[in-house]
Amino acid sequence: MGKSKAGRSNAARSVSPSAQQIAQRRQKRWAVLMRSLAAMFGGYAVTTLAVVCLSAALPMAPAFAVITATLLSFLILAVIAMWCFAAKTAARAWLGLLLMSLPLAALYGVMR
Amino acid sequence: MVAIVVLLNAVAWLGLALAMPKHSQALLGKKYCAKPQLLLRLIAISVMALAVWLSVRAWGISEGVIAYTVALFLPGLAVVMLLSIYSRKR
Amino acid sequence: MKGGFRKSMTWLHTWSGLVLGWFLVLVFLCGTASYFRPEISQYMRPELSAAGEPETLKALDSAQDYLQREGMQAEHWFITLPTEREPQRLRVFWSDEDGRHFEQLGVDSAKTVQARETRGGDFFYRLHFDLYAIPALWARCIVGICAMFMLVAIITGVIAHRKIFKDFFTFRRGAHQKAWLDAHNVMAVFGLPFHLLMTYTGLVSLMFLYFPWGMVSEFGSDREAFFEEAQGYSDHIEAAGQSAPLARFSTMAETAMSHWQSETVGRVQVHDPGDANARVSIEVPDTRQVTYRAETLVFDGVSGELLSANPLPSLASHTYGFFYGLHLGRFADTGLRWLLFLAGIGGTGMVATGLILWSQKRYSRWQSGSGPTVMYRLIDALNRTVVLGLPVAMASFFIANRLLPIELTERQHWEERSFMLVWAAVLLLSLCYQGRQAWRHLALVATLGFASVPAVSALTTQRGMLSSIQQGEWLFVGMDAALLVIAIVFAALAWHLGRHKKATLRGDQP
Repeated sequence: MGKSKAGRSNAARSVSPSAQQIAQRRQKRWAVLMRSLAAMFGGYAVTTLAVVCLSAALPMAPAFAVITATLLSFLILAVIAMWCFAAKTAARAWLGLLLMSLPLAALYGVMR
Repeated sequence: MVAIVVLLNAVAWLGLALAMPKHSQALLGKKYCAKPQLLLRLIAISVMALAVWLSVRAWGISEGVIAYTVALFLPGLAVVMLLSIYSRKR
Repeated sequence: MKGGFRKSMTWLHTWSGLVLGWFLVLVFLCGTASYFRPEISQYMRPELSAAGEPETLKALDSAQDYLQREGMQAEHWFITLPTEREPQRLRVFWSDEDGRHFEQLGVDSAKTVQARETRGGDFFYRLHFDLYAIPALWARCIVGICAMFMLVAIITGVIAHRKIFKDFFTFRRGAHQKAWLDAHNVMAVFGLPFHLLMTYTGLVSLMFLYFPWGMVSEFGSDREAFFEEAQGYSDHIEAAGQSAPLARFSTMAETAMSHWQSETVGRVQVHDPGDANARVSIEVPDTRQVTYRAETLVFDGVSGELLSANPLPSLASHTYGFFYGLHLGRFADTGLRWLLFLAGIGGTGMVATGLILWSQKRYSRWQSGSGPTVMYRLIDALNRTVVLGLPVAMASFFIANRLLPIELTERQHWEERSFMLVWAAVLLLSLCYQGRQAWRHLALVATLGFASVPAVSALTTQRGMLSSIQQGEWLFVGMDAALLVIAIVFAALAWHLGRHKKATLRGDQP
C-alpha cells in the first residue's frame, strides 16, 4: 500500500518545515539526548555511589546491608533518572548529578 | 478460586466505571446524578477488598497479594471491552 | 516551554519505545512462555510419558545409582527431581575432566532414557534474558537496560498521566489508529501493577550483575564469602582426601520430607561425593512458598545425618529470595499460573500495540501525501518482524521439533536455528512487502503455523490429540489445545486487520 504512494513523496517534501524549525527541533532533540545520557550514565554512577555508601552504612551484617542497598539501587536509579528529565535544563541535570555525587563520594571516603 | 477472584474484580471494575459520568451515561443513557456515584464507588471498593481477603485466605498472605494483583489485569480489559461494545450498540 | 517539554517527552517515548520495544516484545513473550517451561519441555519430548505421580524417593535412588557408576570423578553433583508438573523427568548434572554432563534418567531404571535432542522450554527461558548468539553478559545488560527504561516509564507514567485515570475505561473500538492507541493505554494502565512487579523483580533477579559494587566494596573479590553469609550457611567443607562410601540420598530425603511435611523435595546437590567430608544439601520444593530457596537442609554425606537446617537468615535475604521467586513464578498452582500467563500475554500486547500504533500512524501519513523514507520502511518492517514474526518463529520451533530427523547431529541447535532462520526470513519478507496487508498476511501465517503444530504432531509422533486422550496424557492434550487456541487468536487478529483495510478503503482515505 505504502509502495504506491512512494512516488508522491517528492511533492510532499516541498512543503517540509523551514530551516529554522528544523534547527529548533534539532536543538530540542539534542537536549533530550543529553538528558538521556545524564539519566543513564550519570544516574548509574550516582546510584553506584549510593549503593556502596548504604552497603557500608546500614546497621546490619555486611552481606545483608549489601543486599538491602542493592535491592534499593533500581529505585534510586529510577528517581535520579526521572529527576534528570524534570530538571529545567540538561546542563542543570548534569550539575545536579555532580552535586549529588560529591557528598556521597566524600561519605564513602570517610567510611572506608 | 482464581475464577472467583477474577469475577469479583470484574464486578468491582464495572462498578468503578459506572461511577464515572462519562461511562455511566454511555452505558445507561440516563442523565448522570452524583448521589449513587459515591455508593457505587464504595460498593466497588468493598468488592475489591473482599477479593483481596479471599485470595489471602486461599493462598496465604504473600502469594494471595500477588495473585490478587495479577488478577486485576484481565477483568479490567474485559470490562473495557464490554463497555465499548455495549455503548456502541446504543 | 512547558508544551515543549511535553512534546520532547512524547518524542522520547515514541523513539525509545520503538527500539526498546523490539527487545521488550521478545523478553515479554519468552518470559510468558517460560511460565510453562516444564510443560513445553515435555511436549517437545514426545517419546516420554508426562503422566503419573512424581516418585521422589525412587527417582533419588536411581539417580544415586547412576551417578555412583558414572560420575565418581566429579566434585559436584546436581540432581533435579521429578515434580507434579513433570512427573517422569529426572535429570542429573555433573562436570569432570571430560567436560560437563547432562543426562536424563528413567525414574526407576538408573539408566539414561532416549528422547529426541531438544532444548524444549529451556530455549525460551534462556532467550528471555540471554538472547541469542551474543555473549550472555551483553545480553543481560541489554535486557537490564530495557527493564530499567520500563521501570522508569511505569513510574513516570503514573505521575505524568494522572489524567489517564479519567479515561480509565475508554476504548474506542473499530478500525482506526485510536483503537490501537486505546488498546495500548488500557493494557498499560490495567496491567500496571503486574508490569511493575515483573519489571522490578526481573531486575532484582540479576541485581548482582547490574550493581555488583556494594558486594565488591564490602567483600572484594570473595563472592563466595558474600553468598555464604547471605544464605546463612556453607554447603561444603574442604575435602578430606580419604574415600568413604555415600549414605543413601533417599533416607536423607525422607528426613527432609518429614521436616517440611511435604510430599517432595527440591533440588539435591552433592559436594565431594566419595570423600569422607561429602556433603549433601536438599532444597525445599519451589512450590511450597514464593521465596526462592527458602530453606536448605545440609546432610553429612557419609553418615546421612542431618547437620543443619538453614532457613534464610535475615529479612534482607528473605526479601531478595521473595522477589526472585516472585519473578520465577514457580510457586503458582495451575489456576494462578494461567492467570500469570495471560497477564504476560497482556504485557506483550501492551508493547506490541505500541509498535503497531507506530506503524499505523505512519501509514495514515503516507496515505495523505508524504511517502515513507528508507528508514521508516525499515522500522515498519522490524515492527512487523517482532510483533508477528516472533510468534511465527515460535511455531516453527515446535514444527522443527517434530520434523527434524531424530538422528541429526546437533539436532537441538538445528531446532534453534530453524527458529532464527524463519525469523530472519520474515524480516526479509517484511522488507520487500509492506503496508497494512502485510500485517494481515503475516497474522494468517502465524495462524497456519500454530494450527499445524498439533497436526504435524499427530502425524509424526504417538502423541496426537486422540491417542493422547486415550492414553491419559493430558499434558499433550492441553498443549495441543493451547496451540489451537493461539491459532484462533491469530485468525481473529487477521480478520480484524482485514476489516481494517475495508474500512480505510471506504471512509478514512482523504
